Parts: sequence; C-alpha cells; structure tokens
Amino acid sequence: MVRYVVTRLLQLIPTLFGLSVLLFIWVRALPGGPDTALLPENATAADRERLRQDLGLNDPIWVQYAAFLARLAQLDFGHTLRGRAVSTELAERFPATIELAFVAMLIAVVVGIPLGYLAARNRGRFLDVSAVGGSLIGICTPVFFLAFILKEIFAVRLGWLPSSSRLTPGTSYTDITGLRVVDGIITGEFHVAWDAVVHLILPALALASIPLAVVTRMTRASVMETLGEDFVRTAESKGLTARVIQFRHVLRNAMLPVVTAIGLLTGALLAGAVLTESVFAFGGIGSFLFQATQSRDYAAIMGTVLLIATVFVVVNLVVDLLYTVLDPRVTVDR
Amino acid sequence: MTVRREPATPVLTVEDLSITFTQRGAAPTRAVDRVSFEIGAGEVVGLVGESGCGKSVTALAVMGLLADRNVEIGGRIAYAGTELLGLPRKRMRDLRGADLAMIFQDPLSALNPVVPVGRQITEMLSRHRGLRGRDADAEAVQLLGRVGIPDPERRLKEYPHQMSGGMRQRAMIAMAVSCGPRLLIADEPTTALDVTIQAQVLELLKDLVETEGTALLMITHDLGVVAGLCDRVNVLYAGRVVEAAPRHELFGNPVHPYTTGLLRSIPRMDGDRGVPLNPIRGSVNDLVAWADGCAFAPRCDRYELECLAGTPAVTELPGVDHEHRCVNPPGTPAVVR
Repeated sequence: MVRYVVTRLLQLIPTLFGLSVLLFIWVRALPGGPDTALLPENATAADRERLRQDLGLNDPIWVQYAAFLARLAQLDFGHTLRGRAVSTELAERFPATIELAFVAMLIAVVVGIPLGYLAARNRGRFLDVSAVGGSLIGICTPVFFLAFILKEIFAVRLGWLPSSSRLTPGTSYTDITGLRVVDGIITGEFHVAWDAVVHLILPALALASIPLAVVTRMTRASVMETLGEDFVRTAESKGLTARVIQFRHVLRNAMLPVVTAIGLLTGALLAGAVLTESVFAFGGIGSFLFQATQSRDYAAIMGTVLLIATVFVVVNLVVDLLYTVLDPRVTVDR
Repeated sequence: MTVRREPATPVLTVEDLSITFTQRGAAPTRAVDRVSFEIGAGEVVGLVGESGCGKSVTALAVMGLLADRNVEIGGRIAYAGTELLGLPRKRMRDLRGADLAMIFQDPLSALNPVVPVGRQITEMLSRHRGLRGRDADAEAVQLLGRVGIPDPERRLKEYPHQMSGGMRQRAMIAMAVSCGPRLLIADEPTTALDVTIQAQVLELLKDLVETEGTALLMITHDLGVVAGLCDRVNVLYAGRVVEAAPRHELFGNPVHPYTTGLLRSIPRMDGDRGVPLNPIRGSVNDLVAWADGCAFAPRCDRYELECLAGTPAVTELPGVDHEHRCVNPPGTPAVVR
C-alpha cells in the first residue's frame, strides 16, 4: 500500500516535467507577451526591448527553461509580473478554489446520486425523463454562460444572493486555514461562516452543473445495470427488506463506476473554476490563472497549471485507494 | 427407496401454471404452458429440459421473483396450502428465504462481490430469525461448517472471489438452508462446477433433504443429476411437461421421443469410441405452437401428420404412475413416410 502510494507520487515527477515542457513552449507561443500587457500603448520599441531584457525573455527558450527548472527544484515558482512570489499568491488563493470545488462536488454528489438512483428506479417515467433531459442540458451548457445567467437572475434582478467575492466587503475575519467557512466555525464567528456560505452558493451551483449532470447519468446507468445482476435476484430470493437490498446490494455495487467518474471530474471542476471564479470575482486560483493568461504572466501560468495538475493526480490517487476499500476485488499491492 | 406421490399435504403444488411474457410491439411469448406438479416433504422432483424450455422461469414464478410488468401468470402455485399467486408482496417477502429458498446456477454472479460471505448469510438470519451480532455470526459459522467448508470462522470474513467455485456454491447452499426452508429450489446448482465438485454438492443436497425433510425442486438439463438425486422427474419441452414419472420408471421405460432422445444423447464411457454422438437434431424452435400440435414434432423421428392435430392429450400408462404427451409413442407401429 505505502509502496503503491510512493510509486504513484513519484510518477508525478515525469508527468509534471512533461507538462512543464509543453506548457513552457505553449505559453511563449501565445501572441503578445508581458511587454504588451504591462507597457502602455504608446511605449516605444526601446522600452519594450528593455523590459524583455529585464524579464530574461530574450534568452534562448531552453536557457529560460533551465532557469525555470533550477528555481522549481528549490520549490521556487518565480514571481508574478507584479513582483509577488507565485507561491505566495497560490497559497493565498488556493483555499478559495478548494472551498468552491468542494462545495460544487458536494452538490453534485448529494443531489446527483439520489437523483440518478431514483431515475433508474423509475425508468421511463416523468422523474427519469426529466433527470436525463436536465442532465443533458447541464452537460451542454457552458459553465461561464450558466454563471452569468445565475448571477443575473439571483444576484442582480432578485438580489437574493451576493454577486461577487468571498465575503461581504468590510467583514473582518480570522484567517487560519484560508477556508472561510471552516475558519468561521473554528473561531466561533458563525456570521462569517454563514456569509461565506452565502457567497459560495451561486458560483458553486454554476460549477456543479457538469459534475452533477455526469454523476446523475453515471449513477442512473450504473444502478440500472446493477438491478439486473444475479446477486440482486439472490438478495430478493432471500426475502430481505427492500431497504437492505437497495442499499447493501444495489447501491454499494452501483457506486463503483461513479467513484471513478468523480475522480476524473475533478479535472473538469478545476477547469470550470477558471471561468466561474472570473465571473463571480471569486479570488481563487481559477481567476488568478485567467488574469495571468490575459497579462501573459508566464511564471503565474506555469505555477498555477502545475498545481492544478498535481491536485488532479493526487485526487485520482485517492480515488484509486478508495476503490480498494469499496471493492474488495481490487488491490493495489502486487 | 419407494417412490410415491404425496397426495396428503404436498409442500408445493403447481397446477396448470402458464407464464406469458408480453412486450409492447411484439407477440406474447408463452414460456410455460399449463405445467402441473407436486412436491412432498423430503421429496426430490426434477424439472428437466434443454435451455429455454421454461425450467428457470417456473422456479422464479414459484419464488415470486418474476417482474411485475410484462408478465402474465396463470394457474395456481400453492405452498403448504397457501396460494402464492396474488399473495401480498410483504407476505411473499416473509416467506421467501424463510420457507422457500433458492440456489442459483452460478454462485460467483449470484453472490454480492463486495459483501463478505458471512454477512450475506447473517443478513438472512437477522431478517427471518432475529439473530444479530455474535449470535448470527456463530450460527453462520455453524452453517458453513455443516455444508463442509473448512475453517468456517475465517471464511466468514472472505469475499466470494476469494473462494473456489465449489466453496462458493456450498456457501450459497448454507445461505439457502439457513432459515430451515421447507422448499428448496436448486436451479442448475452444479452446472458451473467441476465434475468432482458436482458430485460433492449433489451429495450435500441429498443429505440435507434426507435429514431435514426438505422438499427439493431440482432444475437441471443433466440427466446424470436426475438419476442420482430425483425421486420423480418432469421432462419439459417448450414450456410443457411432455413426460412425468418416478425416476426408475422414466429411465427404465421412457416413452416420449424427446425423453428417449435425451437419454440416447448421453455420451457413454463404455461405448465404442468410433461411434458418433447421438444428438437430437435441430434445436428448440417455435415452428409449432402447443395449441396446434406437438411442439417437438419438427425434431421428432416418429413425427406423423396426426401429431399436428391439436394439443396432444395426456396419456397415462396403465398400472403405473407414468404419463406422457405423445400421440405416436414407440410400441405403436411407426408410420412409414
């Protein structure tokens, strides 16, 4: 078990290395550069040249990459164009994204699994048809579009929920974990925790749309398949109560593929966070990445994407480990 | 052993059972057609026939495990005098597992892969016998020991995939008999097993029937199983019983060409190796519906036009407990075509 985890984590190194090479080339291939983003439009060619020289952008790309690697080896992600350490920025912003992504996934799981299950049990009836149709819409709707619609309706027109940021401006709070809800609960500042929850609702709903749709559909398909399994018929033949049959025999088995899907959805969730956070001015790494890309802030882009990639790998590792608990037939040793 | 029917209080009575599957947009399929038989306590009755003849569907109907939708069930199924068809769901659920139990063909797929075997036994004990915790575990250990599983305490925590095929089927049997059912239905219990294990499992079933007086409905296509275990045999073809008799009578004096065909098709170890196998030609088909004549006629060597003149009537052989549904049985002169 430990060996497996270590091996998987070590595999992260070549993964990140390959990704960093590609990314390094890609971001530099983007039209424009930090000079166009930073300098005013009337800056002279000489100004631009001097800035490029200062930022080391005139060196051959492999020299730049070697310098990047050398810094990375010391866990130094470099500095943003504004001069702050990328690692500091990420440390400040990452909790916001974790909070948002976690709540979005929670919505997807807490709503999607029961919904998918009920749809499967009521196959072809109204609930099923609406769940399947609704999830199709959820998958097809671009996240940022949904984010704008939700914001327009619930924040701007109805005014029920705040339209941006993580807390009502001016709220004082104690920062412990960076997770505002958790901090509020730990310190007993429940009004802060509640304020944070209220601010999370709209962005989390927008972000949850795709995972919710996928989880619903996966659960539905998986439950329908499991219902036809021989062991469910055996359970029926044993005269067990419907509750035991549904939970112990149907749902436990039906959850296996859903768990895998949840791991893979983390990727979609982090990608979706880029757009959702930008729409709701939610100060996480998503909006940070969005701004960094606009200003061609190479160091910030590299740092953020590598962090996201690491999170993705780690989450899927956790899912694989969870799988061994859920399904005794799967072992990681060997 | 004297073989007899038990007219007094049969554990299971199946009378004129018909099962039709209806699917919107398709013609209804009659899987079981007016099947009747009885099983008394301690009796083993075989339901024999090839795939698709309605054996398993009959078993599922008795257990009340057929879907509610798209199935029409006619006739009568009674367990110890209680009518099962039309019994409220809850009552049926109480009977299932406690009074009627079933053993399935493939223990690997019939057992839940993610629940320990012990739990799959104890969940029945707590449902029907109110045993919980240690008491249930102790009882499960005893049951596993009784069906011949070595080291039952350790096996209790194992998952189905950690057991061998024979052991899984033993666990399945332990589960089925855990609440002392009066009727046990075994649907091809040995088909998925090695030959040596098959014999052990049959021996175990035989032993259970003898010691507990359980009525056993044995569903099989294997005449070897029938010869070794059944007191009485019903041969099914295309959803109908074509011949029914006590085992010795059936093997000694088979009448219906389908039965004789089945017996002839058994490969023999002591025969000449050069002789080809002797199968029944063709395969089950619906060229003839029972309403129009003998459904076996298209595959029958003794077929004559008379065979297609309506449903063949049941003929009882004089002086013996033996009935069949053949219009032109051997012994009557074959018509030369």
